Amino acid sequence: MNTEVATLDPKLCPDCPPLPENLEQRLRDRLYLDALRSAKQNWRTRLALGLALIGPGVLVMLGDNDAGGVVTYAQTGATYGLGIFLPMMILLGFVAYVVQEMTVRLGAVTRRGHAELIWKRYGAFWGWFSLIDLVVANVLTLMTEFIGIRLGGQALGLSAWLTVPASLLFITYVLVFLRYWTWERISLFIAVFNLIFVPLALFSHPNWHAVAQTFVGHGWIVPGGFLSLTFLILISANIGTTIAPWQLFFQQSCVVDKGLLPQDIRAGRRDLMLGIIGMVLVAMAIIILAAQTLKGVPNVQNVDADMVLHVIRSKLGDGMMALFALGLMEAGLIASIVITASSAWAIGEAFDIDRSINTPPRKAIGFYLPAILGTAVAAIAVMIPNLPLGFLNLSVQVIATVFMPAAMLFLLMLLNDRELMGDQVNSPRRNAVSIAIMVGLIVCNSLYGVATLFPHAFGG
Amino acid sequence: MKHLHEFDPADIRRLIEREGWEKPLAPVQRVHLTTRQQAVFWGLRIYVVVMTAVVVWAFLHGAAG
Repeated sequence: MNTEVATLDPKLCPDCPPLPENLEQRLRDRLYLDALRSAKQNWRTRLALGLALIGPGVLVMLGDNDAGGVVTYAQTGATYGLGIFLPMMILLGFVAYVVQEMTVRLGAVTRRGHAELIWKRYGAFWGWFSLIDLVVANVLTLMTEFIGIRLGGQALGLSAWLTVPASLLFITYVLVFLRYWTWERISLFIAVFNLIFVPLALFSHPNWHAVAQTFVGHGWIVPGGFLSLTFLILISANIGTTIAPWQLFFQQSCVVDKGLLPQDIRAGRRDLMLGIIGMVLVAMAIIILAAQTLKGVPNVQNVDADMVLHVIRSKLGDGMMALFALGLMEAGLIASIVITASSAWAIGEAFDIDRSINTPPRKAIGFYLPAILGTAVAAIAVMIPNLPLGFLNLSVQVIATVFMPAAMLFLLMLLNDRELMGDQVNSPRRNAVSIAIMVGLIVCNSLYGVATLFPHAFGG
Repeated sequence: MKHLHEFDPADIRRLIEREGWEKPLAPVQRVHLTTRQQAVFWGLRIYVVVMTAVVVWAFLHGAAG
């Protein structure tokens, strides 16, 4: 964003001081919030304010329940049923909160995106590494989103040649032609449909007593043990679908583009917590659904969205299958929208060009085009026939966790930078929890790597 | 939502000044990583390369099998 050029129309505010370029839309969003805050408080204004303040947190966490995540949770439920992974989702929600809350503070205090801070604070050399990690992980993750869109559409009788290009066009439209507020509202509207998996789980008539007992340690039996390759790949994949590099870049830039300031951090935390509750509920619902319908599938790698849809149709009927297919398409669509935005923001910030969804496309082609091209590459790739979709999905989730520790280290360093953060610097306890998460990620992945290369290393 | 021109100019000015939108962002100065920090980052780069190779190998191996 050019901070030298003042563009606020003098007719709008003759006495206003000159403003940095392209802040008009953000200013309007802030004025709207301000008007709601200063209005007479009743349930309507409180509701309107609450709704206005949600955005980055809900989007990042419901976008996190993407098509790849849906398949991963289904693979988990199919393999381990109502077991250890159900309560583990609450733990993963806590992990996601610890990680994502830091991006809220960083964005609100510095008013700069994640990529911008890495590039400016640590230089282009390390900046390139983080950007390449992000773009590679994003394109791979977007492939899993388009796989979900393709298979969900096919289950509803729609050709992949219709659903995939139409989704790509829609994602392009909302990012390029809508300004931040409208983009955020439309994305939130789509994201809410992520909750479609909750009634699906209810309709599968699970044994609620057994579900409740998993939270007190019942059914935590892991066939093959905690060091089996299947458990290790699933634990890595579940972590990978809960925290991923794109989420750091996305939420911080989203906080900046929404115009949130230090006084909005509490609201940002509530927004994030709401998103995490949604994420955990949906993840649990899919695991319960899969435990009811898919339990006992011999090879987890064979479980892909197509198989899940087929089994749901045979056990719960066409209506439930159609709902799951819609949920899968929605999950792919919302994740594609937010991941494409994260690429755009990161690239714009890294190369110090216009980097706001409030900027019209004619002024910011360099901001929009690379991200759209990356998404188009992913869309084209999933049209390749005979891809092993189930295993591809697991592999992509694991790769997300591989890139995560390096991304988290930059985040931690920035959060401990008193010159940038002032009083909002990380507490020692939060640092300790964050480092434990990073070490946990590395240990999980390393065990998976050893078990993959040496299948008998852990007695398997 | 209202357009910017529908807001009272006095409200616009008050908000700009209260929230500091007219002030340019403070520049972010470059800092150099210490040797220890660089060692950790290079370690993580090696970890990323090795683990990515393992995942790709597993994918190709699993896909072929």
